Amino acid sequence: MEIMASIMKDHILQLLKEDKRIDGRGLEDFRPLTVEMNVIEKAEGSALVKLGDTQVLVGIKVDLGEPFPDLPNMGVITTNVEFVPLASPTFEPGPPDERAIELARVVDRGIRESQAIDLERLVIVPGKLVRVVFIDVHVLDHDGNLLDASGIGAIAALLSTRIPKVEYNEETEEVVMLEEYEKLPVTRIPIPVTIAKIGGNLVVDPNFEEEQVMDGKITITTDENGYISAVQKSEGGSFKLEEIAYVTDLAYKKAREIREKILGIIKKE
Amino acid sequence: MMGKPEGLKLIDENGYRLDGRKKYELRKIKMEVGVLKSADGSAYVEWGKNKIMAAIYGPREIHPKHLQKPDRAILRVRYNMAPFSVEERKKPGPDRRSVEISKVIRGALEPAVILELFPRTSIDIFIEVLQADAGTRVAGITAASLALADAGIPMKDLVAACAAGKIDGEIVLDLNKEEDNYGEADVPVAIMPIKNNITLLQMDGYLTREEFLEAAKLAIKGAKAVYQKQREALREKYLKIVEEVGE
Amino acid sequence: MKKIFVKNRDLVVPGTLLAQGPFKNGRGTFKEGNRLYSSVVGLVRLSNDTVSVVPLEGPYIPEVGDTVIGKIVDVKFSNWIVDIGAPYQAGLRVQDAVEGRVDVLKTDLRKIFDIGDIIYAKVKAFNEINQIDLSTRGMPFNGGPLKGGQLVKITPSKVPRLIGKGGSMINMIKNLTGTRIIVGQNGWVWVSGRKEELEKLAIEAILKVNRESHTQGLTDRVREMLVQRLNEFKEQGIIEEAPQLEEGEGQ
Repeated sequence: MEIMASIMKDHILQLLKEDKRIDGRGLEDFRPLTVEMNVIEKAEGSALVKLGDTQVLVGIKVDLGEPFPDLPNMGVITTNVEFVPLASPTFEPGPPDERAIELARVVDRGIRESQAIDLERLVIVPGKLVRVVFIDVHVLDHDGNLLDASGIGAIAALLSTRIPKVEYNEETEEVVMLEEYEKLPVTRIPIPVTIAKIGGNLVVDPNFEEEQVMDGKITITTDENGYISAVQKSEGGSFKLEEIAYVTDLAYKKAREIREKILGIIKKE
Repeated sequence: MMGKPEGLKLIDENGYRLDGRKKYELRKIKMEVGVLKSADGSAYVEWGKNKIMAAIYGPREIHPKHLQKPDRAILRVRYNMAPFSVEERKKPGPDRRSVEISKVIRGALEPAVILELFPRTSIDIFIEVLQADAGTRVAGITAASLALADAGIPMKDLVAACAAGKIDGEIVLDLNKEEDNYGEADVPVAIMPIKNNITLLQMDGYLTREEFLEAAKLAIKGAKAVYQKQREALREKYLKIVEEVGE
Repeated sequence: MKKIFVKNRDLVVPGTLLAQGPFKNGRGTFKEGNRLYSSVVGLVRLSNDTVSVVPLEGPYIPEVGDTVIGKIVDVKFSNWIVDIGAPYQAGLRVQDAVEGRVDVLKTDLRKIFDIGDIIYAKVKAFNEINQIDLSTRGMPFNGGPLKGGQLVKITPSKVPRLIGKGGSMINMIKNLTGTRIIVGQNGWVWVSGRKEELEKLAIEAILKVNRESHTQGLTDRVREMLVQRLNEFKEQGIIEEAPQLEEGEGQ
């Protein structure tokens, strides 16, 4: 882990005393966000997210496979996150470390618990054959808040996903992939919002330097239904209950803004 | 959350849950401190059907050296489930869930330990789930906290933890396994009670803002009850001896 | 406003509120605003304006000048690596062990202290990376290696209790069991007796002090235990005479 210059930490704290941040943002502001969909033609769906200088590419591959034995009438979704070594001097080659695993699981819960994908509509032959949706997050440039970038990328990529229609012949037990495509059934748009605590101040969408000096952070994923589908306090530090209430409201507000942006992009395509 | 069997009611009309508890009732909890000889500190917690062993080694030198922090100790946490701890045998070794839980437990305990006293060392925390019945991470944090105190590692406060959740539309305290499987949400919380600092907070499920805050508040209440038991258990190790010698 | 919420010798746990106001916070405590809390499990000690907690458990935190028992775990070119049960490695340089100049090319360090040897050393200094520098020069027994006997480890914070006021506790144990005992500040204790049973009895007494250090009347109980067991030994013919307590001991 790089040792952060103490003058940097002092600088950040000093600015926060005046409600300022090192990149000039307000405490409740996200960095500039761009989302580009369908960037990888060979994948069934994809999205490239740029959140400030953080860049994350999410690809969706949809396969056919067996359902889980205890959930025979539901499709399968699985989320993985790769901290690709080229994205940061702090990333080493190898299997996902605890940060990548935690990130993948929080993004996954946000999508799964909100039932953003209607898993029942992914069943082809109940108990035998279902669609398996692979959500793969490939981090390309780490400048902080990989979680929100990944979560936004994941849902945007899912919204862009088109899968070949499948026909199942009961008599012959043959599965035929048709030339016709259909959209993946996405019914909710959950958006994670991460807030960091730095010396008692709460800031939305921490960048890399802010993450190095923060005491801890909390992510709250909300959907347009007004429900929360994931909460994760991460790293050290602590929060008061009043702060939890405040960040929850803030998360709803910011998620709404981001959701509108994504819907705007989809309309254009 | 699994699909609930048809017609299964987790709370009946009189407010009784499947195991006979009422909405805001904790499962039975037993705590014992100083149970292992080899470790620097240890504790054993039985919480409902959960059986958790926690042990501390340290502060001790770290290998490899590049993991050292020059001005403080680091905490390393390993949460692990024994293969026989769950209904269907679990393959030995860390799975992704254990890795995530180890990480959030570290985040829950770190704020309580006065790390600056032991620069360049590591304090290693091992949490072994010997039998699991939902709520293993909050029981693990509770046990680890006791083990840290048992090891004589200076802390600003104990960390007490508890979970609340939503079952059959109601917010209740301390879910057991069936309730966690068939319920709508699970909210584990850890706090340092003196200043009400929340060091662990997660939500697995689907809740409105009001439900989430209600569950968090309820879990905090539960954690405070657990805290009293922790303090008792730490004193008991020594009071037991006082009684023995007939002071 | 000054207020104390505990009494001397109260058993407290981390987070127990001890006092409020302009008190000095001693060992085992920390201050938040004007409130003083315990950071460890231990016994309260009130002294003038200082509130501290003597821990009942905890790692050995070395201080310059401490005398410790250690074990040689490695031999390098011109120094030994020593385990003293502290969170940090301890080292003994050859010039801190031997008088006069030493030619390291011609000297086999293992002939002075070999791996596994038990030494009696003094904490000379800390270096900048928290390593501990030891010295055996001027120490009793030449700093070792100590031969024979056994090593027993107690909680470092209980060493003062084992030694007792003016050495009363440790001298009582030594004299009654006829053993040589060296108590290191690091909680490592070397016990050497003429007979194995006496050595074991001394160790039992030491472990009893470790276990019951937070109770009252400990000295009397230890003496009782020793005298009773010695009488048993006499009856069994293991020893001829049960050693007598000299006047003023065991007080």
